[in-house]
Amino acid sequence: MRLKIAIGFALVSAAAFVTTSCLSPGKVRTPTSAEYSDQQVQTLLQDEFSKDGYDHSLKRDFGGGKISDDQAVQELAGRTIWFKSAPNERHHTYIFPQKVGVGIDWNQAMDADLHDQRFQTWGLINDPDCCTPGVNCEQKNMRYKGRAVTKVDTYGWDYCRGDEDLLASLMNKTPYRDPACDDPIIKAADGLDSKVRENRCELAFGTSTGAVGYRKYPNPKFNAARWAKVGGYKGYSEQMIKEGINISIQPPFRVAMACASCHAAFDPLNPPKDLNNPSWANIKGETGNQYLNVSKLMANGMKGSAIETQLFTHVRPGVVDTSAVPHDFINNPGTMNAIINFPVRPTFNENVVRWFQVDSCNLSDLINCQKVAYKNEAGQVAGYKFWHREQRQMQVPHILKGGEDSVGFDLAVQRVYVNIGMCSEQCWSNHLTNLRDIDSTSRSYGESPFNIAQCREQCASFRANEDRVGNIFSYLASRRPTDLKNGLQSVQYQGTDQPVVPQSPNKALVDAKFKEFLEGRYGAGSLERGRQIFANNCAQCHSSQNNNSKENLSANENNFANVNFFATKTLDTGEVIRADWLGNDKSTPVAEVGTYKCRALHTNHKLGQVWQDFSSSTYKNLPSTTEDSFEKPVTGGPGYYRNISLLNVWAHAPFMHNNGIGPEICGNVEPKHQVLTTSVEGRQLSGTKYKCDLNYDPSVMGRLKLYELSMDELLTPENARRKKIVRIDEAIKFPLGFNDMYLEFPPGIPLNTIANFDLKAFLYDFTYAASYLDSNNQATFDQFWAKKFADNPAKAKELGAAVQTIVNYFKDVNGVLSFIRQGKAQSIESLKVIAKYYRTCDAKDEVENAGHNFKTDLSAADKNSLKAFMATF
Amino acid sequence: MINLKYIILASLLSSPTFAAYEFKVVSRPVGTTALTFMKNANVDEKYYNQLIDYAQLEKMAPLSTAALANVQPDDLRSLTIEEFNQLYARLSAGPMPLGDYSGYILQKPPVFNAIKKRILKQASLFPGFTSAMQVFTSTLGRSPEDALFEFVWKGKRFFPKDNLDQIETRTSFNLVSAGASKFTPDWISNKIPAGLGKSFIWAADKTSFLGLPMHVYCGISQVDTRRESIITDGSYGDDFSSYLKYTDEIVTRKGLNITEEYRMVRPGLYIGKAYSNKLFLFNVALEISGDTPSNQTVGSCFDGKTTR
Repeated sequence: MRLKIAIGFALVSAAAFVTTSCLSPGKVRTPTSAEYSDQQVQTLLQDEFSKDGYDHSLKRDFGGGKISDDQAVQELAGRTIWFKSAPNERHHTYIFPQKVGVGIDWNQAMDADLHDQRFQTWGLINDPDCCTPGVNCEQKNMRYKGRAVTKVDTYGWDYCRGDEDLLASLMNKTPYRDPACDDPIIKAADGLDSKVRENRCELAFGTSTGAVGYRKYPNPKFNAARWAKVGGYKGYSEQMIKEGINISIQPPFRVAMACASCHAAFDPLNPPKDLNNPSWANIKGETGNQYLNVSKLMANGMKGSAIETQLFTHVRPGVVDTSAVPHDFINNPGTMNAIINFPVRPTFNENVVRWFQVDSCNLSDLINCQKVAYKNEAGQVAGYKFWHREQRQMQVPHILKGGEDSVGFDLAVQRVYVNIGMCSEQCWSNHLTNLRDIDSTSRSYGESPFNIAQCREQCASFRANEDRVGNIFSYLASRRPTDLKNGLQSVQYQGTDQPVVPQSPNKALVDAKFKEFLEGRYGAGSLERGRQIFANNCAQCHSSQNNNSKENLSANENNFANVNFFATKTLDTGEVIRADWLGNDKSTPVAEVGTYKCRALHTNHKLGQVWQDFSSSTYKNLPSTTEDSFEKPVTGGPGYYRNISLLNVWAHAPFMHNNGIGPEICGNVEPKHQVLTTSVEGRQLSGTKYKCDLNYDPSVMGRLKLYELSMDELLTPENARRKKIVRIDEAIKFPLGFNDMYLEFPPGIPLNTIANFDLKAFLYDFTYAASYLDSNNQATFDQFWAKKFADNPAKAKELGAAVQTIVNYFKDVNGVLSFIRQGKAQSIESLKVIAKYYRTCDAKDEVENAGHNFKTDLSAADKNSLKAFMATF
Repeated sequence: MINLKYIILASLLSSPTFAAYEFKVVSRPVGTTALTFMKNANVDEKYYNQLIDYAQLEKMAPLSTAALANVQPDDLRSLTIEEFNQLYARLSAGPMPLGDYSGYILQKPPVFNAIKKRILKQASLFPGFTSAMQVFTSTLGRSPEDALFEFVWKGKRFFPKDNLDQIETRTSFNLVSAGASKFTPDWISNKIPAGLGKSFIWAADKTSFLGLPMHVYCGISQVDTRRESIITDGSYGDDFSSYLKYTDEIVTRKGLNITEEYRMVRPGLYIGKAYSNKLFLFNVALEISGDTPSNQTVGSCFDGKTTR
């Protein structure tokens, strides 16, 4: 076995992630891998780095000596997992349809005939490791059983590396050996030390579907005869959307999502010339895909009138509501932001209760001590680990928009894996809210806390990923910004629209040529003027260099005036990176930021909710910053936005957590294929006429243009901005249990008036209070509502009267039907009152691009100066 | 077996203000045996978040095969819905049922009466349903609601198939056990409106007719996803060649969209739940009418362990 070696990136234990300062050099070692010899490792690395179009940023040489082979292996292993590991295929193609009752029509995106529309329709990136049968498989030398592959062989999808084995398993009903079992890089990384690890097959790589990060697996329940009878994918999809999914028919492939499914994007510095046929050199795993319409993809198997379709699909490209499946009754999508320069990301000393790996603990303490068996590929126990749950002070990053996922990097990664379906059956789905469950004594009426210990014990994929999260961390910690300067060829700075291959990233961040370009575009002297404006007005939140909070400063004091935002830091590896994270990641009250508030009210990390064990006690004890609709303070953590990093802001527009400030962008496809996003003042949304401001343009100059237009909107006073409001585009028919009864919401109403309604809280109160009326106990009924409001009898009376009106309709079936079908004025008014009080998020006028109303009074020249300076970020 | 009287729900260290529920293991007789359950020691379980998590339950109060060996369907009537759920969550799917099973309706949710009326209203939209029900109910002396729910879940026949995803079950309307032995095939054919009764498939002894075809497969439980259940799914009953629109459509996606899920208590006895459009209707049990056949398919359902 290889000796256990002391390189920081190799630390897999939880404590290793408390601080990014653990990043350390690859030390010289004498490895003795059971899996690979040193020579084999070097050969492996040479092979990896010589692959055509591979991500060469992983092969780094910092002048002072390149990274060690060990570190390279770990980073490559992390990259491999990031792009390929997706042990959630049962969730997306099997559990979700059965639990929720609606399917995902993967064929709408993965049909090989739609290869050249995949990016424009869905924002998906075509996988360079695949070919399209009948188009380019022969050119790519990808053959099937020694002959040209056809779409019949692939069930109409692209043909990807490893598919010959996958298709053989599918056709012959033989066990599928997952490529993760034999992946040389994972094997090499596993061999770096002698730690016990769960069977690597459980990482579940499968093969590509044709889109980067979307993986497929043979469906063991596939029945070729039935598949043929339903008409293959086309017939299956058509039936699914028209009549609902037929669970008794199982498609040939189960589809899953790896991290790269959302985070991989075209390299901002080196986008492909042909957007439909990129090479790996054009793809980066860390950038965040700002063109991705993943929410629409996840809901494309439902009718437009399904409440899930309307609730979950109207989000901007690059944005996803990750609390849609673990549903919190708040419509709060957020961006897939870039993961870059982690070594300088701020961390916070917080009070954390979590599980730590220990040498041993007292097993009679069932609550806090756990001994877990780890198995090898043969299913035999390879060893045990002890885990102990305790409270500690830790340095933790604030990962999510509101500062959640604050118990360490490792658990943040694990939570995301679970949130996209890993271990769904064993430990997640039982804790989720079933939208249609109306019985408050039923477990699926609401959320319950995910149990980390149970999942670790009962789900092998959880263990397999946890054992290798150190590799993921190594990979992510190696990711660096894509500075604009490096996307502009020196001789072409002025006015070019031609993207070019980046130059060396280690030169000074601003050189003469770059300055010439910026000041030519934004005005003479704009860089220095922009720096001053930024230092005086923005750096308090958007710099990590000076830790003094503005609360400690006097009114006229500015301790950023002399800060060098271009300062560099030399890592132990010899690598020089920008020292400033350009964001302090501290939590700011949402009212102070003023941006669309719903994401800040995210509740899933509160006590009693599904992700309670993924937020620190410090988070849970944050002071309240806002009230709910019952005039009670919102406590337990929500109510804040962290001050995000502006690194490479030039490449990541539009702005804000919801991509709300800036142009609306869409793919260059028929309107029916576009993601319906918002209605914009003076240009009402319509299913057939809507056109967005800009089509997708991932070129350097395309991103820069998007940045400039977004800056224009950001620096416009919020009252003068055009107002963006998401509206539903098709009537929602919400079935009340039976086919002939619907609650119907007309098209055109703001989506969030429905999406931010606490249905379950209302149902509970409604049934509880109604029981008093049933027993003619009006006084108790009135008291029930009075208690809802501490000191506001008028509101209590208003809500009580509204509920009573509805109760009267619900006394018998005919009343319910007349209530629903006739929509009498009295009932509509009562519903509006109820909707007002059971709002989970009462954002001002539902305008999604409001807020961040800072320095909107700058002169035009100063605004340009700020643009110039921030373009260097 | 962990012999703890009390446990505390995990993960509460982080807040002194959060209600830390204690759950106690209780044992109570069910028929001739004693089964264990877990109850909230602090509050009367009236809200979803006051209930024990199934994984915790199974860890703290596992069920033994021996304890279930003699359980009879009627024994289960004394369980509360929560106790039934706790029993169900600790079971596995077991082998695919095969042959004839008698059906039992067990616990119904408090809102069942309201649900029943609404279902009947929807069922009445189907051609001939109301007149057919009137014929049955006038003879049986029961309300239409009772006729629909008591009569329909009287039994099932599971047909053997080569492919597991092609298994078909049909509701077995056993007229004798329903106290309606006068309903012979000829009588039905004469009395039931055209297009309805004449299409029934009769069992060989003419005492039962078979209708409402449903798919049977291993699938995801609405109650507890940790292990698969045996699902009977009427939504696409029209897949089957013997499907008869007038009689069978009522359980499909165009009608009540009926699904059921089952797990095995002991060989020959399954318990589960029936749903309409995923709305819980009532708990059910299926007990094999004769001997348990030897050719049941074992182990086809996901048992909670990842296998790749």
